[in-house]
Amino acid sequence: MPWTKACPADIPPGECKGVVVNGANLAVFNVGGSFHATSNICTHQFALLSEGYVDGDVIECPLHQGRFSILTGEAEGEPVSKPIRVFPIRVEGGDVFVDVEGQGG
Amino acid sequence: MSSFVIVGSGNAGLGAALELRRQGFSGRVLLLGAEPHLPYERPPLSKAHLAADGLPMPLLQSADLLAAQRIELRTGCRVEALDTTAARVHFADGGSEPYDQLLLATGGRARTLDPLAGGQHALTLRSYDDALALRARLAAPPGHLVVVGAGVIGLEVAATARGLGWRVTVLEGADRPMARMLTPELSGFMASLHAAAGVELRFGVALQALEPTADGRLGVQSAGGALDADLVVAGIGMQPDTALAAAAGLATDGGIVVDEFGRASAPAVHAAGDAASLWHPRFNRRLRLESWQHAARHGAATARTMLGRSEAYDEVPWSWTDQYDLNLQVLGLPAEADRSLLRGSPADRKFVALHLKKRRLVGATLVNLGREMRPCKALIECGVELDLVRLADPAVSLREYAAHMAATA
Repeated sequence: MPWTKACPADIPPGECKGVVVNGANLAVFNVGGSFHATSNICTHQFALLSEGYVDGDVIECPLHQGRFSILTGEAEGEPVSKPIRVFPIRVEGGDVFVDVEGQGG
Repeated sequence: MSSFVIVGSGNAGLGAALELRRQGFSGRVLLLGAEPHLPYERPPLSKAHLAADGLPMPLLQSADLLAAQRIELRTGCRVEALDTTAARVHFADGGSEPYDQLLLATGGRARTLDPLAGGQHALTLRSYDDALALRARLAAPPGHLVVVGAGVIGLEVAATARGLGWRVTVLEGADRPMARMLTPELSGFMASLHAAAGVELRFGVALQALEPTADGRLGVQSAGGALDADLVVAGIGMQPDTALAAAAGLATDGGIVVDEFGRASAPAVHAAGDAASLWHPRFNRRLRLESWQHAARHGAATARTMLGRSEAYDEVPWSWTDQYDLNLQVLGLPAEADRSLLRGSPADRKFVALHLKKRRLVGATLVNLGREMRPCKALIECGVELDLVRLADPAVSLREYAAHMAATA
């Protein structure tokens, strides 16, 4: 299982951070104390979701306000319709690990 | 069975059709589009579609999904006349359809330079076919593009063309760019952005004529002198399509006049989107809004009115433009403000300008800071006088302040 360290697990609840893991742009979220990882690129147009607005368990893209579920990656409203990938995640020893080849959700 | 007819299959018309089904309407939904295409969206047409060939049409919905929703789409179908007494729409071929409820989502056309001498030589950009034609010209070896009009479309075309290596001159009649949408300070910021990218912007220009030259170029004549262009694009606004409404005796004022529920001046007739001149209860005035979000939301809200579930449409207007690597969003009506507060760094191209009228937030301009849109929207919606010291303090997050104001409302 190719667990790769993404970042320290010090992201406060309700916030997110963009990281590059094995060349992949990922967004790591803390939703009410539990960590989640998704692709960091909006499926509508190139934008970093980690620069967007975290609304509970939804991330809103900063460019055109498309919304995705942080938990499942599903697109939740115009103008986005294609889901983002979600990745398996694990917290160990104070760090967040992501399986960039896996499928989470 | 009830029959709802929607004239216009753009973002507003489609938005209404989808909302009718979402609300459980099981009657007939007839969606009539004048263009020969499935419903598509316009924003990519001034950006990606001008910069590359072979991109798929930016469809809003697939034909399969429309069929699955039992939305009867007729493309290439122009409604010639509307009879509000008999409640029928008439087509050019003599056919007609009855309606129980009607929505006019007719959008409009790009304004042309006519009757300016040689005006027909300028390209305009609104439809997918316009974009294909303009792309074909921009795909040629780069030359000199002259853009007439420093509004959103003109500036997006300028930015895209610069990215393709064209020399670009933008001619604008007003004294600043994007004068309808932006405060003077933000206009200045956008002018600097384009100047830094090598675009020449000229203001106060009175265009006189376009004249083909002997070597196949276009002479652009104005009071201030002449320019030689390889391509001229006019981005001078849109003309709402009100002819059908006006001929049917409906009230129009440049747009199709509707109330805050989307109702036009004849029974069972409504209008939404670019073509509608609506009463906006949040700003207590009549507005005509041209944005992707407005078309979609106004179409949906008006669909609910058509079903007898009226709620006043008082959404805070919101639109965006992408030029070079800049994302600029405008919330509310900055033009209503008596002062503005800046948060962030214009030099870093990352800031929010808050526009206040008598200490209430009436608008915001966000540059590369889309995450602040929601808190700004909440502050506009709460409608109360704000603490200007806290608003200006970078140590106070807009998100926290908006949450605080919502909690104490």
